[in-house]
Amino acid sequence: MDALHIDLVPPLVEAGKFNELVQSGHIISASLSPHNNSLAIHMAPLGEPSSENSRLEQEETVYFASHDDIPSSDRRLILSSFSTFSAIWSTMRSRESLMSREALEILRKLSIDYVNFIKESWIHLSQPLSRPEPIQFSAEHYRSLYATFSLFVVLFVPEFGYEDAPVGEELMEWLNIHFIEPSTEEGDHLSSLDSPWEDGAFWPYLTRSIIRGLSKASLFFLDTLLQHPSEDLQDLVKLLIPLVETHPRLPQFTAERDFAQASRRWKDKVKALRVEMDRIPEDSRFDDYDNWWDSLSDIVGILEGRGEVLQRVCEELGADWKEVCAAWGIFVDSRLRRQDLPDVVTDVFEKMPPDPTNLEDTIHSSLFSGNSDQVLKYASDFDIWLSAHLADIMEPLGLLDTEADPESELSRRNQYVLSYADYLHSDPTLWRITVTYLYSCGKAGEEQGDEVLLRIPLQLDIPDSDEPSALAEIIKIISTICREHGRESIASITYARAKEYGKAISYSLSAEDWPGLGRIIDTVLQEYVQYGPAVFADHASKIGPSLDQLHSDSRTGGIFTQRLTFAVRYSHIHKLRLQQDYSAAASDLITLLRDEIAPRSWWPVLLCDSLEFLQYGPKLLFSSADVLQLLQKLEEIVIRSSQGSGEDYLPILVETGKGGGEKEALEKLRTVRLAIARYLARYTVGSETHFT
Amino acid sequence: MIQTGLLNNAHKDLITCAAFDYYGLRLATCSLDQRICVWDVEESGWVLRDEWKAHDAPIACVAWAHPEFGDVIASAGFEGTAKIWERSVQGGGWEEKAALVDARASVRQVQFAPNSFGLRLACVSADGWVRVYDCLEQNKLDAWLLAERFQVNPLPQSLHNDEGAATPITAPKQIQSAGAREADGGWCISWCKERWWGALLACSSGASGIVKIIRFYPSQSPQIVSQLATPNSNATTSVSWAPGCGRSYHLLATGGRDGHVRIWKVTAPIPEDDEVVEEADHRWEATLVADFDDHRTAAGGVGQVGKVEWNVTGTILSSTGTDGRVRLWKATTTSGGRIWRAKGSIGVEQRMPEKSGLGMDE
Repeated sequence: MDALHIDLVPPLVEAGKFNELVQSGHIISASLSPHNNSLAIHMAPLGEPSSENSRLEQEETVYFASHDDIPSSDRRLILSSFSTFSAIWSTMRSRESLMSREALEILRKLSIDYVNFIKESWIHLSQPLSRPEPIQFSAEHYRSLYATFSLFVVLFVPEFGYEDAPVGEELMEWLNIHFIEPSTEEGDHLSSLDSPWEDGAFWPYLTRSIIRGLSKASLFFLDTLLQHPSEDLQDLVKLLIPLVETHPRLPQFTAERDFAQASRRWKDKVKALRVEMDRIPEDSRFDDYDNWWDSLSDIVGILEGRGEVLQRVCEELGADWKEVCAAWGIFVDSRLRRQDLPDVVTDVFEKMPPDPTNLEDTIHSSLFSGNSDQVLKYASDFDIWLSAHLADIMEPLGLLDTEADPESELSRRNQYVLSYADYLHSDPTLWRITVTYLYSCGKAGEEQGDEVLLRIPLQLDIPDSDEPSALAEIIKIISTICREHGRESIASITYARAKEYGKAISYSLSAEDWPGLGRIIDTVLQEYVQYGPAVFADHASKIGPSLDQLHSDSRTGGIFTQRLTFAVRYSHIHKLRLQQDYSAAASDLITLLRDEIAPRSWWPVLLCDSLEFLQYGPKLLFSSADVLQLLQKLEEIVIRSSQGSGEDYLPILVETGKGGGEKEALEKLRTVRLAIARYLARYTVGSETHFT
Repeated sequence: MIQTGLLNNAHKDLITCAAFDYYGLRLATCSLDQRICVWDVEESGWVLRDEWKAHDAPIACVAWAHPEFGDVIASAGFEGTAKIWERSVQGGGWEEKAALVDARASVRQVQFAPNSFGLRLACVSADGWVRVYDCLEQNKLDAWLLAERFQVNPLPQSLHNDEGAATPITAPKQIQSAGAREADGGWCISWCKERWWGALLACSSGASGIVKIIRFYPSQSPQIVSQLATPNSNATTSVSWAPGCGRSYHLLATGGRDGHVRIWKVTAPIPEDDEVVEEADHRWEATLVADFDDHRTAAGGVGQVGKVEWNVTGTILSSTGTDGRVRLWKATTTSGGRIWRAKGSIGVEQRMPEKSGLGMDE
């Protein structure tokens, strides 16, 4: 694609005068947005900032620009082709043999789907509607796409079993659909004349109708020649009409052998007509307007299958190489195979080269020549949708080298598909489609897809009542994509971002992402530090099931089991507390400390939690052994902290203390010690009974 | 190419740096006016969310930390201070959490390391030193340990100068000499975006133009593992390490005072052990894969590059220069990704009358 340039408005300087800004100490600067590859552009100081920099009007402006036009008009094609692309991807992924009948039939069906989608877009854009946005591509662009993709299907994705069948009829059909000639208006005009042969357009029209196989029009105008003043011509036309009527066409036959025999017999009859023509004396070959004999001879020459006549006539008619090649497969070599087409094309190009200024023509000529690399090169210049989707089908058909380029480490297909995905990324609302295309492109695509997916905004802080369901929907889509493409660790991060820690842990387990799992557990514990026990208990209760999953998973080696166990059981204590089941809560707390399930950094927090149980009036919640346990842990913390290891024990309590330091944390622990002393006093007095 | 928005009067003086957050939904800008602005994208466009005076001098750079650390910004001031800011969860507004005052000249660029290395910040200052800070308490953000510091272009006798090393610098003299060189120097840093290769930082300082790739280790001093040497000795003004995105090699872009944008391919040995480095270091290779001098053209052949930056998928490089253009570069698909080509450009000059805004001018 050619480089495009835009100048931003309002402009900062007259055209060609940026140098003046440089002289006054300015330079342009830009930053790329991770959201959609757009740019924030501003003026910046050049060199050292100084008060001498002359001020400039609007120099504090930030401009925003996007390097790809945001797809609007072609959104229809982007969306419709996406489902087909996904279907191809899953077809190819799930089949061992890519060349099986089933796979090829699916590929053909899906390729035809693409053709239909393009056609729909073309029709849609051809409607004279007023559109809210400027269109990116014109209807003409879609017409080109339609013609090109259809040709690709004709040449490279034939019906299964017909790969080796003659291709002429299909090519002519394609030409007749996409490049209509001769025009209907011309036909209407000529048919309105009493003596149409007197019109200069008559013979060209008739000849082209015959080349195009438009038998109805051909026969109509041949019939008119029966009124021509020359009896010679009338006689010849009487012979020609049944020949045109009975021209054997491949679709009329079930076996190619029968078609070949019929073609041979028919050709013999054409030769007989030629003999009759040659008998006409030179001086009888004119009418008042033209040399009718020459014109008729051209037609017969084409029917005889004389390539040089066909090419010369097409040139005179203003037809191009495409018409010659298609007609070649009808008249010159009616058994022309797809694989023989490049040789024919090479010969035709010698006299009728494709138009190098017309990209569509260049792509078509590359398709006819069977040069896949060139097809993709020109297609990507024309429309990267086209190159990506062609490459995606070309690879399984064996038309592209599947080996990765040693330099870019990407296969041809992946290069083109990634390029399209880059374009899609300019519209962040298309993220789901973007990511699916990226994830189909090997390791490079997967990692690019991860970057895009990790940046999908999850608007957690919007209290709107509708938002949670919208958010849930986004997360669901992300997790589905991740599952389909084996990117469970990305799903895990997404769930963690949405504070759905249970699912986050579950995904990190299936991704075997152990560091990720560790981070999630830390995040859950952080909920306690930041938001307190109730919020923490709520979040942590959802990770309980993951604990069972983790226990049954031997791969982890128990490294994370303990941290997760602690998080779950600690949250359970808070849940019991909130339900006022203090006996159970106190008992669990002691277990966490005694069995050292709690990490050392959490001991002080647990000790502070025990305050509530120690001071609980109605009952004694701890046994003497329990209290001893509390006291031992307290001693260890205090002694080790005084020895300079406070960092191992106190950081969490410090954090929960919001602003205090170790000193304040130790102060807090002193109140625990006091509470323990009081509790022991109550316990030894024996006036109350210990309940467990 | 299409213009999509406009922010008028974003600051009271020239903007020095604009940085998108991780999601691209917020934009932080800083300016010679000593202020930082944070903008949110909304349906109507960009809306000013917060604005505050952040330094007592012009601000050179702002950078966002990874969102897992909360809303955290670092800023670099010309007074020689790097600051850490956090958006308060309760009241909104940004609080200064830490001021890192070790630099003895203006701090030119700050950048947070990838989140897998924790909350770690690299700063480069005009005294030629790179300093790397680790946040000790990620929830409080007020305690930062100067974990590493080294001179990018040390005197010959002290190649790796870590804490307390042999070449002491006398502060006043350093500022003087640094100041004299600042006009033609360049100071830039860029972290490797991936964890796999270890903590890697590309940096360049002063007038030499050489970009050094430094690897950090948990228990030994940083090592230079590779160097990107430009063909001439002009200063490097900007370096950007492309996101890896599945490549087995690294891509780095540099922009220089010679007006050239260069893309380097750096192949690195597979890291085996943090401690075993000496043999591995010999296997780093850097080759120049693209070299564009387009930014020279408009300024009479003496232009310079202001900034180079990769997009998030490492597929598009942007560069800016004194030719007044933002230029975008992309590897061509037909070349197998070998050849980089201009993809588009953006200017701020008055449109030529015959242009309609979407011209094919190049």
